Amino acid sequence: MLKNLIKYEWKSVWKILIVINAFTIFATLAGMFAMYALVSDATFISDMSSVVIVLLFLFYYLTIIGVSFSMSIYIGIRFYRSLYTDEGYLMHTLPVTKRQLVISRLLVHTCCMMITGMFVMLSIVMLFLPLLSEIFATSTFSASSVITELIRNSMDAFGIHTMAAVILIWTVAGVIGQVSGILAIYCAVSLGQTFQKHKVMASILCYIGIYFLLQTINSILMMPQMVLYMGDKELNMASYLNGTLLTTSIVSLFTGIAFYLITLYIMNKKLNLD
Amino acid sequence: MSYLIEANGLTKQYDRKKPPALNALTLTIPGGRIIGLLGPNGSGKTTLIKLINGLLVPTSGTITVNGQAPGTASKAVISYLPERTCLQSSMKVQELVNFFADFYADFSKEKAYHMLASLHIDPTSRLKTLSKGTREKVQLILVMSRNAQLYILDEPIAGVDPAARDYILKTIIANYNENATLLISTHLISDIENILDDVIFIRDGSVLLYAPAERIREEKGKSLDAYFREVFTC
Repeated sequence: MLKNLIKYEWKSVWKILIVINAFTIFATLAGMFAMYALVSDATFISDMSSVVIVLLFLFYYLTIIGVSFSMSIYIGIRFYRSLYTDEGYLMHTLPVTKRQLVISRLLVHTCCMMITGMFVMLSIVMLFLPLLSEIFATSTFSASSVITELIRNSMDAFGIHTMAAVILIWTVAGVIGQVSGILAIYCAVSLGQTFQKHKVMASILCYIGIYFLLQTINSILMMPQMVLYMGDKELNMASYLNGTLLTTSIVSLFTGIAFYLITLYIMNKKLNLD
Repeated sequence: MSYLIEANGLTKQYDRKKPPALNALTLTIPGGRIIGLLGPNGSGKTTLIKLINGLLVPTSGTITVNGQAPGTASKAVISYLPERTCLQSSMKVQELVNFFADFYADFSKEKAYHMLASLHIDPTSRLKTLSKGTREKVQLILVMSRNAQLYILDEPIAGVDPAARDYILKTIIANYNENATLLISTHLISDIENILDDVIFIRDGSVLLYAPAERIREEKGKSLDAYFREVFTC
């Protein structure tokens, strides 16, 4: 049954995923064109009006920000519509458990977020590629040596000896962050449903509340790390970033579990479809 | 004797400042009956139906289907037609048929396509391109294509024209599993009263009357529709 739920959820979202990432590709092409115009010697392109270049960069920036937001908002709307509106009448009367309903959506939505995130990361790399090649061509260090140095420092900071393990840690941390973020949306939407009226508005307010709560927890827990880093000249940037990564991942893991349990509790014990 | 549905002291209160939608309702429904759940607007019919389907959580009391609280097992044996369209409007009719076949082991694709053909509904059309009445027919066809133990139909004929009502009622009677129970909630009593075995009158969240339809007609000397109007007169 979980397989079927995943299949139908994927069928419901894949078109939106393509549209959103098509925007990223389009904006990247525009951004790359503007960047090429900035660094290129070719007269036909370097003569381009600076206003046009600024507008292209602005378009790129707004699209990339918009894409990430749009995916999160779409996930929230999709979760709400499929489980708490008319469609919920069908979903909640299928012979499946509430856990399966949540997990199926979580898996599909995490994939969507990861794909969108990867497109955004690739887009940023592509955008700065002409600039980076300029820098690396005129300086003594290479792009690969910068990345290797960062990974090596991370290996020292984590006390591990393989590059693959560092990359794995980064990936796991990224996935935990994404999953926890999606569960925060589910939790906010579900909490909103416990209100008598204005459930959508209540969901939005719950999400804002959750967001500020998470920011506060993260800030408090990262304070010692920050103080340590600022006072210790020996501590390198990688150690600081790794410490931050570890703290936020642990917070995300525990809050993610809490969001998941709250969502399930509301579906099992407080479900009240209008 | 074991009953298909058992409700004990079932209460549902949406708002503490208002009276409960269901008030300590106690009810047992056996298998193999066609039952009309009748009552005026706001009497608690839909609330009871939602509680049976696990779409609401009771404030107090219990409800069981086949001896179990609403859950995966009960949902596998209940075929439920809500009062609203709950299907994804972007899906094609044939995709919806596949959807039901994937989730319900007792669903018959053959039966569904046969009914779609008799109502001249194109399986390749998207739900959102169909009229409201046709969407309701599609939903009814999907629900009636199951070989369930309990069919719950909430206002199955309210949204269709009178000409289509007879066809829909015939479809319901011709396609439901005869060992199953059919629970129909409606305001249009005159249209369905001839098919009912039993009648439940519900008012202010409590059962006012639960009796065989024939007995009511004999004892009161009038149709169910006329008796309903007498009981629930404003």
